[in-house]
Amino acid sequence: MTTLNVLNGLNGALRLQGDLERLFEALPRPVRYTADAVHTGEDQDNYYAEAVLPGVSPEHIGVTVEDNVLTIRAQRETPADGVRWLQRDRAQGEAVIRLRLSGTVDQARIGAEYRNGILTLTLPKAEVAKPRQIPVQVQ
Amino acid sequence: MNCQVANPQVTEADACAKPAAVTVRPAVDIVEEAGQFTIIADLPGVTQEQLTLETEQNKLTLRATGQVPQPVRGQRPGRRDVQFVHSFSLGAQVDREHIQAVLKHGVLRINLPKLQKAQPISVPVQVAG
Repeated sequence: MTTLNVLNGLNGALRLQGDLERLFEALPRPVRYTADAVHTGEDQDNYYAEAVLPGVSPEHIGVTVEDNVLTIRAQRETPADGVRWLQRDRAQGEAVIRLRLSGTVDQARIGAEYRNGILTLTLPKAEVAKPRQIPVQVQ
Repeated sequence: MNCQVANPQVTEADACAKPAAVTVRPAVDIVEEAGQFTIIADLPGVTQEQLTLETEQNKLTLRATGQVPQPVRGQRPGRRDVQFVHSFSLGAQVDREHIQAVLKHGVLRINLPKLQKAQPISVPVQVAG
């Protein structure tokens, strides 16, 4: 399971760092996008997770949250029967990606966008997780 | 500048510099059916404007520049330019005049119809005399 450790979001992001680079180093083998190609990060207001899922119809992508686990299920197109395969590099079947959430994600406002084969999840931070400026009073 | 410098030996200019595009070979499926071949290539992050497909003699070359996610320390995942390049040798049975390609959801499908085989022609025989 891929862990998005939002209590310690930076470490969570770093743990996943380098996945894509490792894939690219695999030249001259082709770049095959699997469920491992997930990257996380954050800014002041949100956590983010991006998954590379080329060729999946948007209606075949499901994002659910249950017991603080966010699950992405993406059903890749099943090849037609009766064709002759001359080359087969691309990932097949269902991709399942799980991210563990902590209480600092506002789960009701999680957003997902799929564009050009890349799924971007926006996980808004709960107010308690946002940085706060504490006014300093000068006496 | 919104770049974090985690390693003290890396200057801010280096940390913020856009990494050069890496060139990769895309994952490709090729299938043959009765009337055509189909090439299916994963090109995530690629739009139609960033894609070229050319044939030259018996070679079909696809080139595409896409942006795929890359991790950035402690920030929203950034995007890295990736150049997808792949060439295919076309057999004599491919009808090069009618190759078609569609890009959808980060996947390119190239349909390569087979040339119609010459139909047998019956030659009428006239009977002389």
